[in-house]
Formats: sequence, structure tokens, C-alpha cells
Amino acid sequence: MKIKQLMSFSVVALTAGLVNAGAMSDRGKEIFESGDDRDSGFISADWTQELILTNALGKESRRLMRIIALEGNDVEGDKTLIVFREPKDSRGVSLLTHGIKEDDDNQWMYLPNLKRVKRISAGAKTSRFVGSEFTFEDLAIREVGDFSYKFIKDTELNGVAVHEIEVIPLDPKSGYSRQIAWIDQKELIVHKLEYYDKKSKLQKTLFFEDYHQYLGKHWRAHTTRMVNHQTNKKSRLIVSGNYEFKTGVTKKDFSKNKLRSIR
Amino acid sequence: MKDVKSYRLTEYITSSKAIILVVYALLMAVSFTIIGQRILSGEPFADNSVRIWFNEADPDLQKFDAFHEKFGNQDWGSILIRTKDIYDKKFLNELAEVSEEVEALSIVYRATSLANVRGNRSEGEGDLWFTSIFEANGESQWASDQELSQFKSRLDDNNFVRDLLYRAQDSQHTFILIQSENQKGQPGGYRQDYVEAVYKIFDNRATFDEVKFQGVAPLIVSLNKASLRDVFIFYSTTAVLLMIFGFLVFRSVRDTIVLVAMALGVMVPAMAGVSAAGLPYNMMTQILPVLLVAVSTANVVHLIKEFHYNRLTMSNEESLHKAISMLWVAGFWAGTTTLIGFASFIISDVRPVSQFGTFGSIGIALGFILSLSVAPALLLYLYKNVPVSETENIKPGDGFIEALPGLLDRSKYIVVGVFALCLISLIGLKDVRVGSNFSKFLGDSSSARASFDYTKEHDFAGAAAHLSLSYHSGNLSSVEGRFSKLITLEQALQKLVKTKDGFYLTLGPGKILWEAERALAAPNEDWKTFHQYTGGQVGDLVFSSELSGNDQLIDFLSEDKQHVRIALLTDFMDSNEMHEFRREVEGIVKAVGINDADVTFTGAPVLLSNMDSQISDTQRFSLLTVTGFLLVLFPFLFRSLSFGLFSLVFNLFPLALIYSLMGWTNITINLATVVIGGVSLSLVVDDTIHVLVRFAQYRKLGYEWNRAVDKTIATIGHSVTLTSVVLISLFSVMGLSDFVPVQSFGLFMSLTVFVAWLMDLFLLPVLLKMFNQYFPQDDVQTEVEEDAISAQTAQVTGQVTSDSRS
Repeated sequence: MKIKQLMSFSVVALTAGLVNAGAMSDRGKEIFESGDDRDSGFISADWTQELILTNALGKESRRLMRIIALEGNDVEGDKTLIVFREPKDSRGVSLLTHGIKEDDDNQWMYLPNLKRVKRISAGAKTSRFVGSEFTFEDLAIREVGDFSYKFIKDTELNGVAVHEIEVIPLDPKSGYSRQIAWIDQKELIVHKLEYYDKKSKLQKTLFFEDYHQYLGKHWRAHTTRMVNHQTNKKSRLIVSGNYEFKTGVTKKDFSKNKLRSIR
Repeated sequence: MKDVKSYRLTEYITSSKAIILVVYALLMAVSFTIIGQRILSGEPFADNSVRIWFNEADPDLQKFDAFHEKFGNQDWGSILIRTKDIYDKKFLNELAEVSEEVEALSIVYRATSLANVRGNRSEGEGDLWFTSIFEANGESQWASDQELSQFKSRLDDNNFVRDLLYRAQDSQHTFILIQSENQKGQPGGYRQDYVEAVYKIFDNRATFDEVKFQGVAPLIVSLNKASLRDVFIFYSTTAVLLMIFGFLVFRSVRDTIVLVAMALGVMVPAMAGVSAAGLPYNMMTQILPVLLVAVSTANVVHLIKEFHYNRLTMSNEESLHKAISMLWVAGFWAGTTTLIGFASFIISDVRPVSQFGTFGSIGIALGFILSLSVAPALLLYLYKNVPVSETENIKPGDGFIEALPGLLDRSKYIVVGVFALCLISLIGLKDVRVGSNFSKFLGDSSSARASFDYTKEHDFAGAAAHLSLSYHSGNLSSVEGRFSKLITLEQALQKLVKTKDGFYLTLGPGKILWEAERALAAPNEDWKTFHQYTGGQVGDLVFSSELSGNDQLIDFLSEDKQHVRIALLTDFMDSNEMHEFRREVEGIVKAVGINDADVTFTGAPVLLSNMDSQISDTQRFSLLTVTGFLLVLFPFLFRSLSFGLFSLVFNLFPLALIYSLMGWTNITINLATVVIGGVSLSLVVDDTIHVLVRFAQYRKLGYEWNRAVDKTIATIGHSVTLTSVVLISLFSVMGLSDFVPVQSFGLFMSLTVFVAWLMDLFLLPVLLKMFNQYFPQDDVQTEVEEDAISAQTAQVTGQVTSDSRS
């Protein structure tokens, strides 16, 4: 799993609810595809979010990051820049991702105190992202052909009408045997996602909460909670303040050389 | 007065024998039900895991728990694999397969092997990759020699992998490091499933010639299996021995029934108590049944023997009354001493030793009660209307006992000389030491022991100790110089383990971060620059490691960077070696000047080694308690301070001799042998009490000193011998144990009883007579006078009986 996917996820998957699916033949696929269509056209976004890690004993540690995103087009993928604000000794560490259609994305890391820029590649899909309960796979954007879908039923979740859809990773290196998604029937946003490990045992649940709608179109969850049922550890992503859209950033702001000037 | 009491007791037993036997049957039924329920509950029957040895409030256990809270509850284990060539691709593919399967076990956090270990790889000037060093692709051959040499050079170049997973000079062995969940507070059942699952994964692998699994989990599973095997062997062998003893010595089914009833009556309720308390068997409680059977049947041997001796001239009731009146005092005090011996372990900080003391005390108390209720009731019931046969009382060895006084008179100086020579052996006492090595608790034939030995033989680590640093304020990168000190500490520790035999390597955050630095700065990495990193530079390095998916770092540096772990991979050390190692490590920590952090040296092997002080305390308290009790009892019992002190010293000798032998043979005082002191001292005095009380009784009846000695040997020598035979043979059963400490316990207890028997039967009569020789106590008695005393004795006994009846 690549770090590019993390950043793509931060921009699209996490906020829009993993609705980036391609052409799908059955009802499950169609639902995902429709959700993806609805979220297009945000152009650029800028927001700050906090990653809160809670260990099994309830002890918390926090990481604050600012995320700037530029929507891609038919030729180029999305571009994202994550700048860490906290912890203090990681302040200024940045990750730049250039999404590339139908290929591995390019990704650079900037370490301000060591004054180094490195093109990087993450390890296994199952590796945890900065010690959180999110693995790189969890934070990845889903390509069209990466999953098969099976519509299960229409049901209710906390009083909201939802579609229940089984999502099965096709990549044999995936850490999961399957996932179950609950998608809002009206807005096509994900409310809950369950992850089952290779032995089909429930491993984690991701909750999307506190949705806000921006520009009358784009839904973004301000709180995302991942609960690991096997370790009792939790991680939360909480958006501080609001999203800003159409901020005027351009491709130049996402160049590798620009990294060194980020503070 | 005592006779009246014993008569009333006999009368009560006579009139209520049916009730007594019904109560006994009920007690057995309830006890068997409790044990049955425990068996059917499906709860693990044995648990020898690390936690069972400690009280929850134990400071070392709390440190261990605090360490686990920082870095996760993990057991570290390893599998050493022998193959023809560890660089063979077919082997590596199979290794990748098993590594993945092991990692897929729900209890396993991580299985790190040559086939899946990852490393930073720098390509060109700007690229940093964190990838598997070996990419499994199912191909059986390397694409080219260059590919193989790249693989080898990436391994050799990785400080984290080198020496941990393979040795450059040994191409036949490789190591898989397994970090698995330590399900704190759970009995060992989950570990058994885990170990069995691991072995199953390694079954029938084409390229694996040898697979050795070692670590805390397989060790505990082996200990638990050994416990269950021991329980089975102990129960069955004890039952067979009791039968053999009954038939060969008493030549009587009835007496054998009494013996077996006593054995069951003591053992079953005690073990039901263990079950009711929800305690699985452990290395200590598993020896309780044999011990209780030995002690309880030894006690009842006196009664059976005395009963038959009296039956030659009296009715059953009178025989029983006389037997009880003659044994009551000695039996009570001998039983009390044994009870004190067991009870002295109750307050031990080593939990299984405390459980041993608690349930052992219950068993001993019960044994005493049953020997004065169930055993007499059964004798009356079984021998009702059974005529006395002339041969009934002729038992093996009687001839020897009869001849013994004469023999001793002729060779008293030889006897004293031999025992005096034995005193020389006491110089071994200076070599007695406390020490435990859990990996050597199992016999040579056990697979766990073989795994540890094989791993050690091939220079791989079999255990891990951990040094944990928790900064008082801030974290590793927030204070200038902390990182530098940590690197210095890791280096110094690495240097230390490299210079010691049986110590292998250290793993710590410095080593992992240096790998990250090398990849980041390549080709211009510089150790000195790295060493001087501080603040944000350390933060950057940690962050880049985390971001590149290096999930090994989290095992050595907590997420908030406040807690650091340095793992020290070693052999499974003897506790004394561990103490020495600990002192050296603490010396290095001090020398490096780490004074802004709480430093803890911990880990399962460390924790187990730390029990030495509790073992010493237990040993000391137990011996002092029993000795203190005897110091009061003997002078009171014999109404003479000098005689009491003599008796005490006399009884300390067998124990001193055994400790001495332990010193000579390098057998340490450990978790099982710790109870030898209190138990053996409280047991060996039993026969001395029987002999001296009987001697005092004869003296009170008017027998001349030397005649009283001879009469004592003649009347009680046989039962003293029989009880010693029972104890020695039943303690010897423990020699069949899979646990080396239990074997030692059984062997040394048998030896102690044997030495005590020699002293009670040979040395004590000689010393008593020599005392009379040098300090004459009274005139020599004629046969006429003696006959008169005998008649008077019978009259007194009859009179008391008659008085009591009226």
C-alpha cells in the first residue's frame, strides 16, 4: 500500500465516504459509482484535522495536520499536501502526493529538521499509519477494479435508511477478507464500515460522523472513528474548524521544490 | 488422665464407627464431586505460567505489567530452523509461507523471518523504499547470481537483521522471531492452542530439517503437560505402591484397605479444596497428593502395627485403646509439628508455595483427625470376629528389630564413628545457594528443554530481557542529549552482550533509527552526526520511520516517545547469571548517566529470577518457624531443656546433611526444593518423637534406662522402619516426575527420611545408652524386677480401662 493512497483517502475517501467506485455492473457498484459522481467538482480544499490515538488503557496521543488538496482531471490524478503541525518535534514534516491515473502515485516526504526531501514508498498494506489504527490500506482510495461488490439489503442504521453492501478486496495482499459498508440511501455517503480479518473475524469498525455539507453538494464527515475490536485501541480523525473549498491553490503549490518552503 | 481420654475416644469410635464411616463416605463423595465438576468445567487443569508465582501486589510483577502497558502484552518466542542452505530460494519461499501462516494466527502480532523482514532501501539520491528484503515469488531458483548476491548483501547490510535472524558463518540455521499476545491473567490453555498451531504449521515442510520452538509460551506449555503427566504418574504409582506395601508388609487385605482409605481420605479432600479454589495444578500443588498420602499412611502404620501387637493378648477394643493411649501424645505432637511445617509456607510470597502450604496443612490436619477416627473405626469394623492368628503379627524385619539392641551394644563406637565421619560432609553447606532456571526445570527428554539446548548450541538467543526507560518529563527528542545518551547506552549494552558467553545482541530504537538514517542520508550517512541528533531531528527520523511503514519501531519506542525499550537477547539464564547480568546492565545505565528516567530491567526470565529473594525468605521463615516450634516443644515434651536441645540438634542433622549434598551436587534451592527444609524437618522429627516419647513412657513405668531403650526399639522400631519405608518409597515416586526440581525434591526428601531413620534407630539408642554409661541414671534392673513392672503395666492399663468404663 502506498502513502499516496493515504492522502487521496484524506481528501476523498474519508470525507466523501469511500464512494469512489468505477463502472459497476450490479446494484452495489452502481451505488458507489453514483456517490463518486456526486462529489466531483470541489476543485481544491483546505482543512485541518487531528488524529487522536487511544491505546487499550485509554491513554491518548495526538497529531495535528493541515491538508491541502487539488482535484485532478481526466489526465492527472488528485494532488494532496499534508503538513504536520503537532507533535512539536514533527512540526513541518510534509507529505506530498501526486496521484497518477492507473499507476502508482508519486510521493515525497519532507523532513524540515533534517532538511531532506525523499521520494518514498510505504511498506505493506497492513502497516499502521503513524501508529494509528488506520492501516495504509484503510486510508487508500479504492480503484474501480480493486473490489467486487455484493448488495446485501436496504436497511436502517440509527434511524437512517441505508444500503448494506459487502465489499470484497481483490488484492490478495489485502489484510481483509471482506468489508461491509452502510451507505446513506439519500445522500450516498458512508456511515459505517466494518473490516473483517483474513479469518473472517470482525477486526475493526470505521464510523463516519458529524457530516457537514459544503457548497450545497460536498458532504464531509468531521469525525471519523476507527475502533479495533481485537486490541481495543481506537483512533479518531477530527476536523478542526471547517473545510475551505476553491482556495485558489494551483499545481505550482504542489511541486517537490515547494516543499522546502513550507512552514 | 490421658488414658481416660484415649479410652473415651476408643469407646466413642467403637460405638459410632458406622457414623464415622458414613461421614467419611460423604466427605469423599463431596470431594469427588468437586473434583469431577472441575474436570468437566473444561478449565485448564494445569497452569505454570509466569503470573501464578506472584501475588498481584508483587512489585516486580507490577513493573512487568507496567512495562507491558507501555509496549503491549507480548511473549517473545523464536523458532530455529535447520535447513541445507538458508539462501536456497525454495527454502526461502517455504519460509515465507510459514511466516505468513504464523503471523495469521490471531494470537501472533508479528513473525519476523528472513523471508519477510523489511528494510530501508535507498535508490538513487532521492528515493527511499521500505520493502521486504526477500520477495517470495514461488520460483525455486534465483534468477541470477547477482540477484542472490544482492539479497545476501541487503541482509548483511542490515543491522537489525544481522545476527538476529541468521549468522553469516552458519548457512544452515535461521531464526524466526515471534511476538505473540500474552493474555494476562488467563490460564495457559490459549498458549497450548498457539503452540500446537505453530507446530502444525511446521509439519512436513520439505526444506526444513529441524524445527525448534522456544520461548515463554512453548516452555509453559511443556511445563503444563509435564504437570498433567506427573499427576497421572503420581496417582497411579502411589496407588500401586500402597497396594504392594499393604500386601508385602502387612500381608493383609484389611490393613491395605485401612491404608488406602487413609490415603484417599487425606488426598481427595485436599485436592478438592484446590479445585474448589479454582486453582489449576502447578509444579507445587501437583506434589501435594503424593506428599499427603506418604505422611498420612506413615502415621497410620504406627496405629495398625500397635493394634496388631496388642491383639495378641487383648480384645480388639482393648488393643485399640492401648494403641491409642501409647500413640496419642507422640502422634499429636508429631502431627502438629508436620502441620506447622506445612503451615509455615502459607505466608510465602511465592503463590504456589503458599497454596502448597495452605492445602498441605488442611490435608495434614485432616490426616490426623482421620487417623484417630476413620482408621480405628475401620480396624474395629474389619477385624470384628477375626481370630488372632499366631502369624498375624510376624512381619518382615521383626527379627532384625529384635536383634538390633544387641547389635548396637556390640558396635556402638562404630555407629558413633560413622556418624561423626558424616559430619565432615557438612562442609558442603557453604556451597548451598538459591537459584532457578526455568528452562532447566524440564528433564533432558522434554522437547522444550531440547529446543533451548539446541538453540544455545547453535548460538541463537532463547530468551529476552528488556530494559525499559520512561522519561520523567518530555520524551526522547524533547531534551537535548537524551538521544545521544540512548545511543551510547545501546552501544554499551551491545558491547557487553558481545563479550559474554550466552549473550547475543540488543535490539533498540537506536538500531532501527540508524537504519532509517542510513537510508535517508545515503550515501553520506555519518554515525557521529546521527549520534548528535536532537529535538526535531530525532522527531523527523522517528516520523520518517513511522511513515515508511516501519512497524518494528513501535515495539521499541512508544507512540509518545516517552518510553523506550531495549531488548537484550540471551540464553535462558540461571537466576544467578541473570542477577549478575542485571548488575552489569545497571552499572552501564549509571555510567552513561541516564538519570532523568525510570529504568526497569524486566521480562519473563527476569521476573522469574527475581523470585530468588522470595524463595530465600520462604526458606528462612519456614526453617525458623519449625525450629522455633521444636525449640519450645522438645523441652516441654521431655521436661528437660538439655534433652530438648539435644533432640533439636539431632533432628537438624539429616537436613544439614541433605543441604550439604545439594551444595556438593550444585542443586540449588529453587521453587520446588525450597519446601524441603520445612517439610523434611517437620517430618523427620516424627519418628524421633515416637521413639523418645515411647522411651519416656517406659521410663515412667519404671524401666531401667538401658532396658527402656531396648524396649523402645523392640516395640516401636518396626513401625518406625515401616513408616520410613512408606515415606521413602512414596517420595521416590517423585523421581518419575518430568520436573527436575520435583525429582530433586523427591530424591532429597527420601534421603532425608533415610538418614533420619538411620539416626533414630541406630544412633539415638547408642547415644542414649552412652549417656547412661557416662552419666549413670539408675541401677541396673534384674529380670525379676522387670517382670514385676510388666505385670504392673498390664494392671495399670486394665485398671484405667475398668475405671473409665465405670
